Amino acid sequence: MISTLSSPNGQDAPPVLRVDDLHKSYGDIKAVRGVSFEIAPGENYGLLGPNGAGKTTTIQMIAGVLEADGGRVTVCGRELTTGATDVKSHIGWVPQEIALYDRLTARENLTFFGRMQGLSGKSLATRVSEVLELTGLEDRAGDKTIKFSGGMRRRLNIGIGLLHQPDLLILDEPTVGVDIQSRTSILDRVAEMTSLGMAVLYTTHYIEEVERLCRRVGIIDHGELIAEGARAELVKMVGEKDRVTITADGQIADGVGQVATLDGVHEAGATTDGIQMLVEDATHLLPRIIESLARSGVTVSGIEVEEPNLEAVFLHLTGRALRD
Amino acid sequence: MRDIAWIVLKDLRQQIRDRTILIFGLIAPLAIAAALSLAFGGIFQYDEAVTFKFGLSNADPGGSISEGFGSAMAALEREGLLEITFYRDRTSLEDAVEGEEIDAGFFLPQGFSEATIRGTDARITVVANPDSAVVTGVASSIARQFTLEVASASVAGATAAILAGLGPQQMMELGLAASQAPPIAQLAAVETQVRQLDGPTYYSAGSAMFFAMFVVGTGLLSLLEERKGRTLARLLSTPISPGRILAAKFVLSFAVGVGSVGLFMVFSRFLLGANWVDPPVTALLVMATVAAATGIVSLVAGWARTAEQAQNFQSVVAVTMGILGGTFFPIAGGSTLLNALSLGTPHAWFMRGLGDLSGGGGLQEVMTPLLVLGGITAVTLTLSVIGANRSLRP
Repeated sequence: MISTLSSPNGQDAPPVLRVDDLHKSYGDIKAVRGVSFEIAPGENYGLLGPNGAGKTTTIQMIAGVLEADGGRVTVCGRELTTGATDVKSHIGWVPQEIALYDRLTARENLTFFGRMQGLSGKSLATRVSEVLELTGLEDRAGDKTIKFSGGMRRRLNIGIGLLHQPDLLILDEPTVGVDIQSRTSILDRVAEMTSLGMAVLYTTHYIEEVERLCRRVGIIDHGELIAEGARAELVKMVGEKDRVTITADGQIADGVGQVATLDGVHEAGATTDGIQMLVEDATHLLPRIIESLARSGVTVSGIEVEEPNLEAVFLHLTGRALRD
Repeated sequence: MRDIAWIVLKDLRQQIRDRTILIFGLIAPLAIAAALSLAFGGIFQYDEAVTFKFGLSNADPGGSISEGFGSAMAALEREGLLEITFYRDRTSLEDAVEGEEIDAGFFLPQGFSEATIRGTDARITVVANPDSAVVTGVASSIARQFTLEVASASVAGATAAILAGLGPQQMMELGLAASQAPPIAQLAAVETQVRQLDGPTYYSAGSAMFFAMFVVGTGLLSLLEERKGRTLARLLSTPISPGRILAAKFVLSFAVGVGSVGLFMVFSRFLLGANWVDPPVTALLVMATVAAATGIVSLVAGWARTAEQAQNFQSVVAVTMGILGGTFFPIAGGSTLLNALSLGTPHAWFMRGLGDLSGGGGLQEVMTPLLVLGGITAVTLTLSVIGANRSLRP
């Protein structure tokens, strides 16, 4: 039976990637323990977890670089086995560590990996030019990559994964060690890929990247997928509340007393320059809070709403911060 | 096959740029040939005119077979291969060897001829310095060849005697006649390696083989570098099978190995005066040997986790096999065990094949070395591929 997922455009489609009960051990260490998830065409799926959680091992098994001890990986309906090398042409893998030939030029690197992906002739030349343009490396195409900056090498590293226009692009921590400018550029490119219909599996330990890019998120820790869903679903799952910080003066004590009686306000207290509270759905409750404060003689000069993020979800699920 | 070719071309391009090819392919062969020329050039000039000084003590004077041995030695002396000095007894012969008056000596015991004819215990004792492997080998070969020829002639003579109803004295005369005929003159057929490769060719061949064991590590080192640089994992994520990646590295090693050894042989021809006969068959022999060396180095160094470790393994194997294979010095006079171990090395078969060619042989004569080298290649490469998972996975 082929399962279907709702793709970003709302249509049900067979998953581009299906991972079933994946296992991998290194000696006594169980690196990946029964990981399962699916990605729809054109979907950007984030695999979030701290360093050493098992993200890279999972990704290497999906990319066919590492053999799984157990479980199954199906890409575009075809199972990835040791002998099924042609399935790999559907996958574009961008490893975390830069994998380039230093003594070859950018163009030569792209051409070589393009050939390994089965491209040839005009289509290869065209794709190489397109990727050079996409990565902003046209002017440096003839330079050996050993002369490139870290950001340029990182962009070329990603470009190689895109070269053969795979159905599934796997990005393993693509922004580690890059400057802000390159990082922004990389995130923009990834968003562009998904808008063109490419499914993306994106691993990172940067929450803001997942929140910006990914429609669905899987949280992995100690080799296990401990939670999965859309960002809002995950937040709802753990019952996190919005934090509202109000900068104000006037009758602060009266104001705290008033807002604490409102439905949806769980905690309220005075701070040095105002009031802080934990509420459910701040967007809807905020007008009533402001009105209540005004009636209590409080003059509001600033409002800050902090929605619960995946960091809080991770903290809730594991009892520790993502970057511990 | 095209993907294998692309990987090989990519590796060659990289190695041209980092000058690995220049060093292994051109500078090293030239430097080694030049160094050998400087070190041994003078020796080689005299090497071809070497005459062994042998002694003979015959305690069986007048014996038909012992006199025959003396005649055979005299024949070799006339050909300029030997200088013979006669000694009155075994002690004086041994003293002469010990005092380095002569290179080696032969002692024929009393009753040698009669014992030979009767088929009882008849021995020619070779007196030689055990440290002089070449001299010992040559002397032993002469003695062995003589006894073999006499035994063969005796059988023929005995058969004829039985048929003709001859008596013991007539049979002995027949044996003598047979032993004095052509066999010693064909001494050249005994020890191919010692006999047929002249000094420059011998040392050039040995050095070529020793050099080959290092050069063929190129592909394997490239594989380890790919693993270190993460490009191997990236290659494994493409639709190319791991077996093809390995095949490409073998092809790279083989190509660089054949090219480098070939160049070395050309340089040694002009700088050392090495004599490579029958170039097409010699080329075939070089290819078979380089393939076998590639297999051995891949198998051994495949256990390494780093390029440095692989280079160490490779050096140990190259030196050990070089010694066992007789590339530094001939091992013809060595023990049975040493000779047996030698046959497990591609070096020995390479030298043997070159010896056969040098002796006037052609493709047919080197078929055995070629088949053995092919066998070594097949076994080692198969084992390398079986163990490849270790070298390929991240």
